[in-house]
Amino acid sequence: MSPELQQVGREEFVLNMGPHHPATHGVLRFVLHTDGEIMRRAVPEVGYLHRGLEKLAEAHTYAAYVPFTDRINYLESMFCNQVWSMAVERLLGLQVPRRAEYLRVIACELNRIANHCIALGSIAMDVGAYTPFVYLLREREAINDLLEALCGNRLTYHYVRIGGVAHDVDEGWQGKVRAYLDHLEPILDELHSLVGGNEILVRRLGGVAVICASDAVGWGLVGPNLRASGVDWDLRRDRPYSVYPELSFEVPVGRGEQGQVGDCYDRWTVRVAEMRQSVRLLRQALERLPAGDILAKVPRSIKPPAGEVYQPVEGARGELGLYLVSDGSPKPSRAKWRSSSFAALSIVEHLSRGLMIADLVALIASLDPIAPEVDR
Amino acid sequence: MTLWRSIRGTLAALGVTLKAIFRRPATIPYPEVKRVPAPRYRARIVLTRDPRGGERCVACHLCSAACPVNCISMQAAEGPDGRRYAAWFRINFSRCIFCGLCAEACPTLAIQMTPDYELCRRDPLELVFEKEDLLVEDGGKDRDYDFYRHAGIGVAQARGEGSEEEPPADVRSLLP
Repeated sequence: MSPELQQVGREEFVLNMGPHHPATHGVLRFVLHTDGEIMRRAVPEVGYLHRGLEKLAEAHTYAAYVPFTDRINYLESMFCNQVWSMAVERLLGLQVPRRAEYLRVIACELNRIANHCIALGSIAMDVGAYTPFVYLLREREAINDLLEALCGNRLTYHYVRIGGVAHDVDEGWQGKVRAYLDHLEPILDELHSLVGGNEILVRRLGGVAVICASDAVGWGLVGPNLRASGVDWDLRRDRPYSVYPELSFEVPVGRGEQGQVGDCYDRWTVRVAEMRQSVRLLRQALERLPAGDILAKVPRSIKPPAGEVYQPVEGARGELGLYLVSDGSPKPSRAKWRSSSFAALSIVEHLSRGLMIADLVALIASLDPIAPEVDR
Repeated sequence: MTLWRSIRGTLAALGVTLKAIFRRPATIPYPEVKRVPAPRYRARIVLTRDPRGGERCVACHLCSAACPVNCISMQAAEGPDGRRYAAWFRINFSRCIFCGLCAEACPTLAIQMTPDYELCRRDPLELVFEKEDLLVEDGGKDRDYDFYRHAGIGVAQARGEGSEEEPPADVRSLLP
């Protein structure tokens, strides 16, 4: 090789991926420092979707901010609603009726399945399989229809309110959910035979971008990403809230089926297993749904006493936390969201050293970040 | 072993896609066939009328106070019988986030959410709906509800004769 070419080979090439790129899941930019196909590092640039939702909380009353929480993460609005409501309820010392708690669990688990449909579909699509995405979107539409009949909207639910939920279930709605669950379980098996055992998917995901357990804990990964690395941690079981202690479910962890524990394929399988557990939770919750009120006696003007609270819930992407400070006025003094997508993105730079560009796409897809939740 | 996995993976996937040929399509040809959303669906906001055909809105400003994005504005006026109404009423649908808080706040069931989701206009200014655009000819979700049968000033009946009212006290006779 001539001296000039050797010099060329050592040069770092900076490549922009995004902000508008189909594999970055929203408006998200990665600055790739590459040496040919191999990356030296990939730096996520966040902030394109910053809407000042934390500052907006300070300008709105507690009840009027609930529709804004829908917009924090449009794929898991129900959890955002729930965490805001739970934080305010804890500040107020409100007891939520049991029927409302069960309805929250039902709505949230449906939302979790819908979210994982998108997550799995986009993992498959980003590594080159388009069909599973369409099939999973079809299943998600059915959930959207169910949630539309329950909450009145398909994406921005505005369903979980401070002190309970907004609407009671209609006659026959529970039967529709049961019928859907019976329909979904064979679909999950079908998904495995469609793409889970596919050689291309296995090679693209198995053993790629392995996150070891200590890294996962150290970088603050949560939810399916953390469990895929073999860390057995689920807030629903380990920091019980709502009525989850009354329901039985398992927490799936990554087992390294097609490579190592914590690779992209594990993040795929953990999500599929979580959908099955959500189906199980839904069946139990529908069975046990008690009669009673759906909304506690909430004061007309919500003025929590001065204080602060940190409320986490296990969202579809893991721990979704809210730190809320009240100064005794009708508006919050400070609201800080701890979002799982932001933590997931922070590990990308660490993992990207020596990764191929194509594998970065698999890594981002398997971490399942959502740009609006990163920037808020 | 790997070869067997590849063959099985490919054939199984082909089987699934072949099965999908015989499935009912999940899509609808949209502009020709329109999907009817659930009755609870929150889309275009309307102003409804009471069973006697009068406007229900009493311009109490509760909806505009509840609105988190401040997209409702109105001017209150008073009729000859002392009944309040909205001289003008405006909803800016380019701001509206369809949260439904206005409909929940309304004491007279005047403002209601409808499942009409086709709210696209070429000009954003056409999304500013005035009172005449918002008013519909019937009572919406609860057609029999009449606020003035329950309470209020003498519109449906003489003052103090509503089903949940007591006759007004003569403040002068209460003087010691």
